[in-house]
This record gives sequence, C-alpha cells and structure tokens, in this order.
Amino acid sequence: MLAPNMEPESSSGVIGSAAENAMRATTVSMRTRFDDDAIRRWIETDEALRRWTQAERPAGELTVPANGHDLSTSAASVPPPNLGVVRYPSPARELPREVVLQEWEGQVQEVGERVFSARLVDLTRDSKDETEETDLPIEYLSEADARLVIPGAIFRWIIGCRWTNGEKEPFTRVVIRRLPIWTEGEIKAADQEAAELHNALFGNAGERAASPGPN
Amino acid sequence: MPFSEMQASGQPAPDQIEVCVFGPNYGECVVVHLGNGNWVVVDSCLHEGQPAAIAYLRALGLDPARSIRAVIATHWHDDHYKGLSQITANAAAAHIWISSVLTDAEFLRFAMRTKKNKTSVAGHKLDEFLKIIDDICRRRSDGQLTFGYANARTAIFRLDGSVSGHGHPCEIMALSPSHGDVSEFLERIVANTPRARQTKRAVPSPSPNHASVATLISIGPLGIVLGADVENSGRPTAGWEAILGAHNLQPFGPKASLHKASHHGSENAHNRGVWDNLLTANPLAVLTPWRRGARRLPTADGARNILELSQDAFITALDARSRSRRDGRPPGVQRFLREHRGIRLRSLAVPFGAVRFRTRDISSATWNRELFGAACHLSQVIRAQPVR
Amino acid sequence: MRIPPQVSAASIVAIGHFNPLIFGPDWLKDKEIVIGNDFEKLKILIVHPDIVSYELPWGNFQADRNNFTIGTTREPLVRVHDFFVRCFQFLPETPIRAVGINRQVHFETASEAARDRVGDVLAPKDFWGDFVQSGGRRTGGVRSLIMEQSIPKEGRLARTDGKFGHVWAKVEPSSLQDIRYGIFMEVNDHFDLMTPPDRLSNGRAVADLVTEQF
Repeated sequence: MLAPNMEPESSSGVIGSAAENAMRATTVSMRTRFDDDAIRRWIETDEALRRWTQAERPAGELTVPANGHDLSTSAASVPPPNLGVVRYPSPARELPREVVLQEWEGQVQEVGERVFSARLVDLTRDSKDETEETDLPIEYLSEADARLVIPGAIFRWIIGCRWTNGEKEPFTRVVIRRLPIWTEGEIKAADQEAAELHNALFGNAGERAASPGPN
Repeated sequence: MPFSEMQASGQPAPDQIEVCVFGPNYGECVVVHLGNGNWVVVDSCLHEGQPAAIAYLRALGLDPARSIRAVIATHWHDDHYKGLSQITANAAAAHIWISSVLTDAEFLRFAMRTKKNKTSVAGHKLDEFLKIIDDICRRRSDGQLTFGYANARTAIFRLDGSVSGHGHPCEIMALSPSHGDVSEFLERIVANTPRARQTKRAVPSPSPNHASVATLISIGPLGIVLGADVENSGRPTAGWEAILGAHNLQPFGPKASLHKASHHGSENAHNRGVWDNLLTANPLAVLTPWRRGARRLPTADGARNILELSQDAFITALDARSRSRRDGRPPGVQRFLREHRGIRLRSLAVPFGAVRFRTRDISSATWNRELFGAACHLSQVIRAQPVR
Repeated sequence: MRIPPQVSAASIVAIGHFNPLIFGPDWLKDKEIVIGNDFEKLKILIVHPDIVSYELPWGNFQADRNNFTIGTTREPLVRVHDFFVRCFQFLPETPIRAVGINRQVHFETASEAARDRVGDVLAPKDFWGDFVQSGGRRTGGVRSLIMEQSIPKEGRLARTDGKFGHVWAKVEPSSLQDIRYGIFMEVNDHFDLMTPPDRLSNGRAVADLVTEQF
C-alpha cells in the first residue's frame, strides 16, 4: 500500500470522491456515510450562516475519524447572535486513543452498597450465553449512572488500554445500556402470536381461547 | 464427567430400578429407569454441550429415542433446564409434560412479549421453553397426542406390571402445582409482563418457581419423591403445605425411600411434614447445588436440616464453585483483573457430578449408591470453605 | 485470531425529512435516550430550527432537515444503536428514505512490508506491471480500494440479503500519525428504503431494521 498522504486535500479524498461520484451516476442511492461536507454545504448555502463560516474552525479534532477526513461536528467558534445558539462549542479536546481488549454484556443480579453482581456474556468470544459472573464496584460508574444500576439492568463492561500523553495505561468502563422500548406494534404482534400459540395448544375451545391482553 | 466410569457397571437390569441425578450446569437432570428399558427424564443440564441425559444413555449403549418414555419439565427458564428441547427432539415418541400454568394465556403473552426483546444478549431467556412449546404444537397438529399439562394429582405415566420387568406397576404422579401455586405464579407473571413504551429488559428471576412440578414415582411399594423447586408458601393452598394437605385428604402413594430435595436444599424448601408424611424414616436424599452471585444453596443450615433426617444424603457437586476466568484472555486483561482486587470474575462452568442409585430389592428398598465426578456426601457442604 | 483495532468508530446515518428541534435536550432526556451522566455532560453546539448538534460524553449527534447522524469513537459502540433505535421508536411516522450503518477501524501492522502484503493480497500488482514496480523497487500501490456488494433487482441495487441498498467496503493506508503502518477500513452498510413509486419508509421500520442489522 502507499504511505498515507497527509495533505488535507489528499489524493485519497479526491479518488474517494471520484469513485463515489461514479457510483452516484449509476445509482439513485443516497449516501448514508457520515459526510463531513454535509454541514459545510449547508452552511455555504445559508445566508444566515455565511458570516459564521468566516470564523476560524477549531483545530485538529477528530470526532468520528474516517481516514484523513476531519468529521468534526463542531460548529465554528464564534456563532452569530441571531442563530439561537444556546451554548458556545467546547474548545478542541484531544481524546486519548483506546484499544479495547475485552468486552462483556452483563445483566445486573443484585446491588449492594458498594458492589453489584452480574452475569456476563463474553462478546469478545462471540458467546451468546452467560458463562461468567462478576462483582463490580459501583464506583466504576459516574454518580448519575450509578442510579441506573438496578436488578435486571443490562450493561457493557470493557477492559482495554489507552494512550494519554504518550503513556499507555489500562482502563475499564461500565456503561448501562439505554435499551429500546417495547413498541405498541411489538406488543400487538406478540399478543397475536400468543393467541395463535394458545389456540394451537388447545384448539379454538370456547372459554380457553386467548384474547389480547392489557397494553 | 466420567461417563466411562458410569458405564462400567453397564445398563440396569430389566428388573432393576435406577435414579441418577446430574448437575449442576445450567440446570440439573434426573434420569429414572422404571424397569425393562423404560426411562423417564426430568429436566436437563448440559455436559460438554449436549444434554447429560442423552450423553449418559448413549454411554450405556442405549438409544434415547427408543428408551425415553416421558420427559418432565419442571421449569420454564433457560438457566434451569438447558438442552431439554434437544431431549424432546431426540425422543420423538416420549411424552412431554410441562406445568399446566405454562400453557395459560397470560404466561404465553408474557413469553411472546419478552421474546420481542432482541436487543440484548445478556439476560434470562425463554428459548428452551419456546422450543418445547413449538414441539408440542407440532405434535398436536400431527395428531400425535404425546404431551400433557401437569397439575397436582395429574397421572403423568403408568407402566403395567406385566411389562415393567419386575412385575410391579409403575406410576408417576404430579404433586404440584396446586391451585394456589398457579394463582401466585400468574400474579407475578402479569406484574412482570412487558407493556408498550416500557424500556426493554431481561426476563426477571423466576424464583420462587411456582410453576414447579414435583412428582411421586411409585413402583409397587417403593416410592421416590422428586421435589423439583417446591418451597414452603406459608399458605395452605400453595407450596408444600398444599401438597401435604392434599396427601392428608387422600394419600398420593407409598412413602418414598429416596428423595431429591427440593430447591437445592434451601431452608425455605425444608418441611418436616414432608419427611414425616411422604418419606420413610432415614431415606436417601440427593440434591444439586446452586449459586447466583453471592447466594449459594444449600446453605450450611439447609444441609444440616437434611442431614438430621437422612444419614445418606448426597450432593452432585460440593459447591457451585468456580475459578476465576483470567486464563485465555489477553495479558492486558489478565493483568488488569489481577491488579483490581475489587473485581471478582467467576466462571459459571462448575464442577459436575452425578449420584446414581440402583435397586432390585423393591420390597425392602435397599439402594446401592454410587458417586461420580464431583459428587460427595452432603456433610462436606458444612465443612467446605465459602467461595469468594 | 482476533486483532483489536487501534481506533474503532461507528455511526448511523438516516436520510429523510426531520424537524431538528424535536431532538432538543429535554426531549432526549424525557424519552430516556440521554440520561444520567450522558445528560449531565451533554454539550450543546447548535440548536436551530434547521440544525441541532450536540457533543455527548461518548459521541456526537447532529440532525438537520434531511440528515440524522449519531456517531462515536468510544466503545461500547452499541450506544449508537441504542440512541438511534430509541429516537425513532418515539418518532415512528418520521419519513425516512435511507439509512446507513457505518463502521471505521484503524489497524496497526508490524511493518511497512506487512502493510504492503495486505495491499498486495487485496490488489495483486502483476497486472499493473511497471506502473507499480520498476527495477526491483515499488513505485506505487493502493491508495484507496472500494468494493461494493450489490446485485441488480427491479432496476435498483440490492444487497445479498435481498434488501435494496448496497454494502461498501473501503480499505486505505491509515492516515493517523500515531498508528504505525496502519490500515484503515470503512464499511458503509446502506439500505435504500424507498419503495416505488417514491414512497418513503418511516421511523418505525428503520428502528426495526437497525435493531436487526447492527
């Protein structure tokens, strides 16, 4: 492979765009790649924000790093007064690089004063079953997230190493998942399946037939 | 699991009764030979990825499809009878028995709504139960009525004395769930049934298991009580109290000389009335251990309760003891776990054992007992160090 | 053998018709999409009728009238799934025309030669002759390689799972300076949700799709 081209308007970007343009010519698909140009194009066409684009962008911050592209979603540092911006963007922040060595998904079993116990599925080994259990200190979570640790809560636990100022150090992170909801459609479909199952077990016998339950 | 050791004694003779208890490994399993090659399987656990019952019968040189006459599921929760659907699939001619309350419309609604949670990998599952239900539906639509729904006093299986190999008739009767068990179970299920707009979550812990199917196996004058998960309820209409009340009105059958203690020998499952009314004096007792987080069963007191009434009490493994799972992981992870003593990581793959009882002496119920793998006398539980 | 990436990122992008102001911080909190520490540390970059943009402790969110994007460079990546799915579960009627699940990783290799070997396997050099090799030394190589998985179906492109759309896989040398001899890979798992004639899909369907595919 070629050594990476470090110029901002690199040939990799040009070739990438050319390939994509060629693709677009033969398809009607819309790009659903995270497109760093989207906000810039929007800004360029919007008269209200034209003045904003003249402000300097905060330097060198990769937020969702695609190769060689700055995908920062940060706005420029000096917003115009009439845009209703609630808060100024944060200053540029260097995020330490992390390498994850191990990831589990767990279900909280019991919560003590300082420790909670959980059963774990080893995602790093592509497991689908709970094969381990653990006791984890609640202090691994922020105070706000500690309130989310309740029996039945689902979380991810990772162990890895990261580089901060050139130094490598281990790290761990416990994140309580914000799982989706049961939608009305799912409930309705489930109740229908349950009714069909009940009828399959017993036939359509009179009072034994199931009816949709509470929503 | 030393199946090679177990198979050394060969198959039980046609007139020999056998009860073999395996566990734990995501459940427990009881395999019963009623005589003349007729086997019954109660629940399931895994051994090296396959159901222990299947592995054992094959080790004895038997074909599970032709040997198993009935399969009884006393649970509904994956953790407790893993692999049962493989057994029913392997033994297509065997009668499947599940607790009647698991066919109730409310429970099915709970199960199907819970099944819609596909977003998390962790958490309790109902996959085994749903596979068994599918199997039952398939049998029904094929006109193969080899299934049943058990309540207290349901006759699960009968074997006539003329074909039993020993001349005694055999009967398996369900002792539970009682009416009160069913009500309490459904109340809890309704309370835990997912609703629209609720954040998805895993199936709640099923304890206490009100849907549990305890059984009395009668072989002529010989009795065997398999306690499943029955506990004391504090009410006459549920738990052991309901069973004893029903027995007082009309005895279920002979007193049992072999008892698989219920709910892993927990203190709340210990009922003196059971030992006085349903069991012979100083019966054989057996159980499997259980752990979840810091909780373990049997406790030392639970073991003592049983040992006071049975000198020959056994457990299939000393403890649901497990080693920390650092090995096989990247060095960085191993180092991290070593250095952070506040984290305890334990494998759920626990020592596995089996206790086997055989007898040809049905009249006097003199059992031969054998211990395999991690199995030992229940008194070891009191002497064992707590696992950290 | 599992090689952990040096940098790992994921994002989900939806294209449709949105009202950005719906995704206000209070709405995100009320629907429990951003709660706890995430809400306390939420940084609001823009809130405008045409665009909202936030910085979460673990990622970035942006929505304008036609694009909805949630992305992260911080494991666990499943957070983008949870955020996206929950948003659209509460907005089931939102018109959506396409959705893409994107994954970017940077791997480190042991040496320039090792990286070259990867390029040689993906793009054999024999055909290129002296364009890439001359006098025993390399004079060129792979700058960027994009492979597309798609099959024609009813006049459009479809994936091998039968759904309309495509999968793009891109491989390039990594441009991150602190990853030696790095290789960058990006996968765009694109779903074209328009059903003819010009009928858009909706938030309900896209939430189910992302749950199934992520």
